[in-house]
Amino acid sequence: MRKFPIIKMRKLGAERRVLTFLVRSCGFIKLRAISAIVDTGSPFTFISQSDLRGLRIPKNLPMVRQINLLIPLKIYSVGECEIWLKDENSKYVPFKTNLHIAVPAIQKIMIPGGMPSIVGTDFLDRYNMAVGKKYLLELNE
Amino acid sequence: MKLLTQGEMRVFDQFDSDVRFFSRNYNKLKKKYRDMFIAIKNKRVVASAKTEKELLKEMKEKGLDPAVTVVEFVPSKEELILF
Repeated sequence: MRKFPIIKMRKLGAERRVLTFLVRSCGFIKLRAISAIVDTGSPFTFISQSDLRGLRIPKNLPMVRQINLLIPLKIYSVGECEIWLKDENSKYVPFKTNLHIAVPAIQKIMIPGGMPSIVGTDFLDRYNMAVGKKYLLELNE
Repeated sequence: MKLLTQGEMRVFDQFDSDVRFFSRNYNKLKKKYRDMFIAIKNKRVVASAKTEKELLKEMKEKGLDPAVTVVEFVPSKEELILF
């Protein structure tokens, strides 16, 4: 069983389990490091607009759907991307995931610091992963 | 699949250790940078501003790449947001 260390950190008023990963060039996203909350309540893995920091989202990016997570979000698909995680032995491991971009559908967001990026169940289920206290666990079948 | 280059590994390691730095020093940072956006690089706060836009401007002036730099908001009051 491979283990990927997660970081416990304060975000949005609570201690969250955060995973860092690296996105290599994928669509309009060039090399980008992301810290995302692992959220088993989200069906999507997405990078929030605030984590794109200044990167313009292409107008022709296909919108998958609109969801209400914290606020109404428009979910755009970047496509299947290669993301890299680091395991407990400091080995870099590649994964493929359908990466999305979440853009608030309303003008005014009442979330201090903006919407976080999320690792959702699409990624966790695809690789049979579970969230532990200290690690993201890649379970054996 | 092409493996990560040494440069990409460095970027990842740096980012990961800076996120951990933010997590470990959260209470200290909260006293100094309340309600501010901060940028962390090499386990140091390298830029801070009241708005994200101002922070990005400062980062640009300092030659910091926002794609691989930790940017966090430090709230003075914590409001629990459930989702």
